Amino acid sequence: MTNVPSDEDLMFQVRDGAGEMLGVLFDRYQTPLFNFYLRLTGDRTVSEDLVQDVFFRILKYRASYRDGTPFRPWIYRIARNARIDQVRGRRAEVSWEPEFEPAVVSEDAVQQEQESQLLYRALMKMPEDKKEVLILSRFQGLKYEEIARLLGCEVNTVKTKVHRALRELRETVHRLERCRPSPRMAWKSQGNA
Amino acid sequence: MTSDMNCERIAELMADYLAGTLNEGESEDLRVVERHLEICVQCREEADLWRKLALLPEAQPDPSLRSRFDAMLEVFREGQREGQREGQEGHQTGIEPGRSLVGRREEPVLTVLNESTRRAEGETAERAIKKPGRSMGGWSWHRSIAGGAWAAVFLLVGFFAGSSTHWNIGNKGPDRQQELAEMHSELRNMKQLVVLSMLQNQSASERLQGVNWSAGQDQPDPKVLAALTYTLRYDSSVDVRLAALDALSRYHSRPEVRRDLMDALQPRQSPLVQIALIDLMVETKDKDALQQLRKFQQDADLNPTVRQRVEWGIRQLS
Repeated sequence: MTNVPSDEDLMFQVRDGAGEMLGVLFDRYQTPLFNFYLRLTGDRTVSEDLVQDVFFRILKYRASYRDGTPFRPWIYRIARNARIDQVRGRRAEVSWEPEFEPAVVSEDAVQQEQESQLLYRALMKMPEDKKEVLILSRFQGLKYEEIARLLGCEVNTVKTKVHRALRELRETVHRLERCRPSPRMAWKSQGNA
Repeated sequence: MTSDMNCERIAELMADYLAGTLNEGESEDLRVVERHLEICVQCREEADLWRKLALLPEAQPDPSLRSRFDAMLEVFREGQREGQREGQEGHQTGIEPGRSLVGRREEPVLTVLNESTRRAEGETAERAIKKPGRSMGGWSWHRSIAGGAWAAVFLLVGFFAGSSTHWNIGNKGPDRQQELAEMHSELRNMKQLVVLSMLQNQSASERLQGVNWSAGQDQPDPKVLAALTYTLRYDSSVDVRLAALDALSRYHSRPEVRRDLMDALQPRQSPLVQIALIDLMVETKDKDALQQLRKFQQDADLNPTVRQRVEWGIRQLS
């Protein structure tokens, strides 16, 4: 049975010059990172550019990866900074509602699909700084302690932020539910026309 | 005691509960949370939302993301190969790991360049990771150089990087050797800067400057060529892609460059660049490109103008 190298093992090899090992890390992390950015920004192109940027930075700063550093929090630190730099670099701040189509959900669970689309839209409406902690803990597999180190704050602050993000998410979902036409009504009006 | 206050007070416990770590801790905490959830609708809904977030589908990045990564890695490895060829101490790679990007001995005329570089390099690579900032964004130093100084640098580097027949190479004393060594060092550093600027996605005008500098080189450097190829295929600005194509076209006599140019004719490419590529193939009478053109013609989603050009190109080359 072959030994599967850990993220840390691979990164050590990259640090020592074996650039091709980064390809394995790319395979492991491109989708989680892409989704991290997508949930933050709602923009596929920006998210793709940022993923590329992260791996470029890993190569560039590979010498600074120290023994005993857990890889996952390290790559998300780079990921956050890449996004921060990118936002700073943007000249024209175009603020618009991301017209976003989430990936296709199975057609069987229609109710579930409507619900997850609603949830997705609500998430997209939240500002980045408010939902980031939620995304990092819920999707990116980071523990609260790791997030706290990443953000440079107390663990309790992280937990409070998660709670507040959920509260805002709930309120946004309710708002969207009130705004959208009920499926029954829409169907009815079609029948009449 | 309002329900709101209660929610705030157990916010931290809630977070642990949702993360599933509360079971490990005090069972008393778990009971507190469960009791609260029984009476508080809001928190119940939030716990529900947390679970439902798992329903959100996971999006897949475009497969071209992998190709783009591979292209960048290729530039890096080209730089490593160059380092091995030169047989130097340490790694002179295409992407230098946080070391000083300026040659060891500083020429007085490049002082402006060096000072700004030193300022940017003042932060170690590690701090650059901990703190997002200008030093991480790439060419912060040459934002601080006035436009005129940058032009002077180019002029100077052009002077250094001119054809080696400019200089009498030979044992004309230690001074000449020193001069040549410094020139080589500066040129190598310049190439690294340029390569890096093309790969980083910070400012289109910076990437353009890098591309234009490369175009002025007599001797094509493999990692610079790899970076230009990367830029032609993946740069986010069409103008920069066109400039990269222009730079690469100067080396079209080289078979590997011709091959890269052909490979760049893809459906997922800007129509302007597609047209420029076709025109180049016709201009250079590249018959090998005929097959690629025919294959390209098969794509159903071709822009009509591009389609006309492809058909024209095929006629010209047949």
